[in-house]
Amino acid sequence: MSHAPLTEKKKMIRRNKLSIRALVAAMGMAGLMNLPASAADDSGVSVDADIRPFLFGQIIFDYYVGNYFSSMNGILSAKSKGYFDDSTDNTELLLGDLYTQLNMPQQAESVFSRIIKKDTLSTTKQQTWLREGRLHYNQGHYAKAESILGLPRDTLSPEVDTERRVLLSNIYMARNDFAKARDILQGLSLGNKFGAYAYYNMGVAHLRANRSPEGVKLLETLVQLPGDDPEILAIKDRAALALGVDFLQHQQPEKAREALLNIRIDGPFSNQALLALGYVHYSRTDYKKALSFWLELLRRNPADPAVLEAMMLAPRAYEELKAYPQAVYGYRLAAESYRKQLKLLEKIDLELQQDGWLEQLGANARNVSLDPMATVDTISTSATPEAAFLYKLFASHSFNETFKEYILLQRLDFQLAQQTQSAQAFSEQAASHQIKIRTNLPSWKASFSNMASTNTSLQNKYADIRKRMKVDDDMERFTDEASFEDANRLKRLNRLEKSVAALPNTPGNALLKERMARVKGIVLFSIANNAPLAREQMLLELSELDEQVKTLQSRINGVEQLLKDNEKRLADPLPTRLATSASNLARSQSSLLKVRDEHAQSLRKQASEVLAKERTLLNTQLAESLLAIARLQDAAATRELDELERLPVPAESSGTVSQ
Amino acid sequence: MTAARLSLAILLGGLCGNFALAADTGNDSSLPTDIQTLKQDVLQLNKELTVLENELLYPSTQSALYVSLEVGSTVRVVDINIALDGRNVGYHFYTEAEFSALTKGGLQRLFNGNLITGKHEFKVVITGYDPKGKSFQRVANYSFVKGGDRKYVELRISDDANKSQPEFQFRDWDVKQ
Repeated sequence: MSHAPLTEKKKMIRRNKLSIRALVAAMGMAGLMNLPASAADDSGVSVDADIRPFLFGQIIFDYYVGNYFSSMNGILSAKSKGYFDDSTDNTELLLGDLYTQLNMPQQAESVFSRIIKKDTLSTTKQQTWLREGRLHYNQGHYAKAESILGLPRDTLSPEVDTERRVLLSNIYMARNDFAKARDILQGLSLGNKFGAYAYYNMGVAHLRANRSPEGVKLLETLVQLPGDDPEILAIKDRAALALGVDFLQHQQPEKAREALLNIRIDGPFSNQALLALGYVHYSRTDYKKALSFWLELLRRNPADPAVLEAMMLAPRAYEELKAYPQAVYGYRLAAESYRKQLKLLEKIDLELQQDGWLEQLGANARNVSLDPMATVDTISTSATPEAAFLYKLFASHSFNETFKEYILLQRLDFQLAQQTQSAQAFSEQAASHQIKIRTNLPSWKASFSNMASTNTSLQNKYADIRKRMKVDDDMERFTDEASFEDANRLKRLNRLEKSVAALPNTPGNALLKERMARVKGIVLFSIANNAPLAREQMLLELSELDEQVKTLQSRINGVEQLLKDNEKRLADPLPTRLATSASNLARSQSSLLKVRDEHAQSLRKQASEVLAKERTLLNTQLAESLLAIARLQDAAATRELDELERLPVPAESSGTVSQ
Repeated sequence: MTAARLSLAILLGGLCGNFALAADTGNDSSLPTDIQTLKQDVLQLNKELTVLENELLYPSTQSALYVSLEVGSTVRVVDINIALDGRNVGYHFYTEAEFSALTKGGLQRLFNGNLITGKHEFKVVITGYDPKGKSFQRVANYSFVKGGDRKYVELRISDDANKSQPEFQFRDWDVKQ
C-alpha cells in the first residue's frame, strides 16, 4: 500500500484549511494503514483482516458526500458491535461533529469533553477544543465559549488560531469591548476568509463606535484584497458599501463615490450601491446624475427596499430640477407600486398560512437526498415571490436554524415511515424464516454430518496419497506407479509365483520357476520403464485434486458456519424484537410530527411578523408619496394663483359690455 | 436580537451580513428536551435496525466490493460497471461530491451480497479521465475464493509511477465474524 508517512500527513493537515475534514481524512488513511502487514502488500492474497478500516472508510465517505445521518448511523452501529469505542479518537471527533450538525449540543459537548480529557494527539485536541468553543459560541453561550477559547494552549496551528481569534473577537464585539476585539485580531492574516470576516466585523464595529479613521483603515485594506474567491468578493463589496455610506454620513461625497465604485454591478449589493451613489450626487446638488442612478434602480425588482426608496427619491430629484410634471408622475408611479406591493404582501400572508408554504420553501431540501442530515440549500428563495420581502428573515440565523430543524424533522418523519414499513416486513420475513429453519434444521444437520464425515475420509485419503507420493520419491516402490493393467498382471504373476513356489523341487518345476521369474522380470521392467511418465501423470492429477480438496474443505466450513448462523437465529426472538422496533418507530413518528408542527407554527409566526413590518413601511411610503403628490398639486395651484395675481389687473371698465 | 449586536450595516440601511451575526442565536436556538430525546431515540432505533438488518441480510456469506482512490491521485472516475461471475451486479455514476469523498480517503461499497463458497470473479469496467485529462475505459478482472468467512474485496484506483496512466489494484480480505 503506498501511503504517505505520518509526518507527511501532519503537514497535509496543516496545509488543508481548517477543521475536522482534513484531520478525519488523514486519520482515515492512518486507520487503513493499520491493516495487517500481509494485507498491505499488493500480492492480492487473502488474509484475515480487521473490519474497522472498511467501516471507517464508509463512514467518512458518507460524511464527505454529506450523508451525515448515514455517517452517524455507521458510527453508532459500529460502536454497538464493539468495532469502535469511546477511545477511538477519529470516530469520536466525527461523532461530536455530527451531533453538532444534528443540533444535539449536549451530546456533542459530552463527546468533545471526553476527547479533551484524554491523552491524545495534539492536533486532535486542538480541533476538539476549537469545536467545543465554536459549539458554545453558536449556542450564544459566550461566557463558556470565551472560557474555552481564551485559555492559553500549546502552539496552535495557524488555521485553528485564526478561527479561535475570530470567534473571540466576535464575542468581544458583541459586548462592545472593541479594544479587546482589536487586540485579539492584531496581526491576523487577511489571506483567508476568516481573517477577512474578522477585519470586516472589526471595521464596522469601529464605525459604529464613532471611530471612523480606524474603521476606514481596516475596511480600505479589505477593499484592496486580491483574489476572485466569491466569498472574499462579497466581503469586499460589503466593505466598500460600508465605507461609502460612512463617507456620505461624514459629508465626504467624493470619497464615498470612490468607495462605492468598487462594488460589483452584478453583485448582491449593487442596488444599495446605486442608491448610495444617487445620494452622493444629490448631496453635491448634481440632481441629474443622482436621477440617473435612481432611475436605473426603478428598472429592478420593486420589492427590494433600495428600489422602493428610489421610487420616492427619483421624483424628489425631478422636483429639484423643477420638472414638476415628471415629479408628479414619479410619485404617482411610486404610489401605484406601493399599492401593488401591499396587495402582493396580502397574498403572501395568506399563502403563508397554507400547509404547502413550508414544503414549497424547502423544495431543494426534499429533492437533494433522502439522508435526513444531508447538506442542502435549506431555502429555495430564488423562485418565490415572497423572497423579496422575506430575504432578511431567510438570511437570519434564528429562522434558518428553525427551518433546518423543520426540514430535518420532515426527513426524519420520512425515514421513520420507511423504517416502520421495513421493520414490519422484516418481522414477517424473520418469522417465516424461523419456521423454515425449525422444520428443516434436523435434516440439514443430518445431511451435513454425512457430508462432513465423507469429507473427512476424503481428506484423509488425499493426505495418505500425498504421503505415499513423497515416500515414492526415491523410486524404491516404483510398482505403486504401475498402470492399472500392469498392476493386475503383476498381481496375477505374484499369485502364480506363490503357487509355483509350493510345487516339489523337480527339474520340470525348476524350469517353470525360472520362466515365472523371467516373465515377472519383463513385467517389472515394463513397469519401471513406464514409471517416470506415470508419476508425472499422477502429479498432474494430484495438483488438480489439491485445489478441489481444499475448496471442498472450505465449502464444508462455510456450510457449517451457515448452520451455526441458522441455529443461532432460531434461538433469537427476532420477530418479536422487530415487531417492538416497529411499534417504537411508530410512537417516535407521532411525537416527531407534533414537534414538527410546532416548528412550522413558529416559522409562520416569524414570517408573519416580518410581513407586518413590511406592510407598515409600505403604508408609510404610500402615504408619503400621496402627500408629495398633494404637495406638488398645491404648489402648482399656488403657482397658478401667483401667476394670476402677477398678471396685470385689467383696467376698470365701466362695467359695460362692448357690444 | 439585542440592539448591541446590530452591526453598523443594519443601522445604515440593511447592509449587514449574516456572518457578522453568526452567533446571534441567543437562547432561542436551544431545543426543547423532547426533541433531543426524540432525536436520540431515532438514532438509537436506526442503529439497532442497521445491526439487525446486517445480521439478517448478511450472515457469514457476505461479500462486498469496495472502491477507493489513492489520496493525491489525479485520475477522475466517471462511472463504474460491475459484473460478478458474468452477471451485472452494479453500476455507479459519480457525482462531484462522491468523487471528492473518495479523494479524501472515503471507501465506497459498490456491491454487497451473499455468495456461496468457492471461486468467483469480478469484472469491473471503469470509465474516466486519466491524469493527462484523456478519457479512458478500462476493464479489470479479479478472481477470488470465498471461504467460510466474509469476503471483502477492495479495488484501489491510483496513478502509475509517471502519473500518466490510471492503475487498478485488487486486494481481498477474509473477515472473521
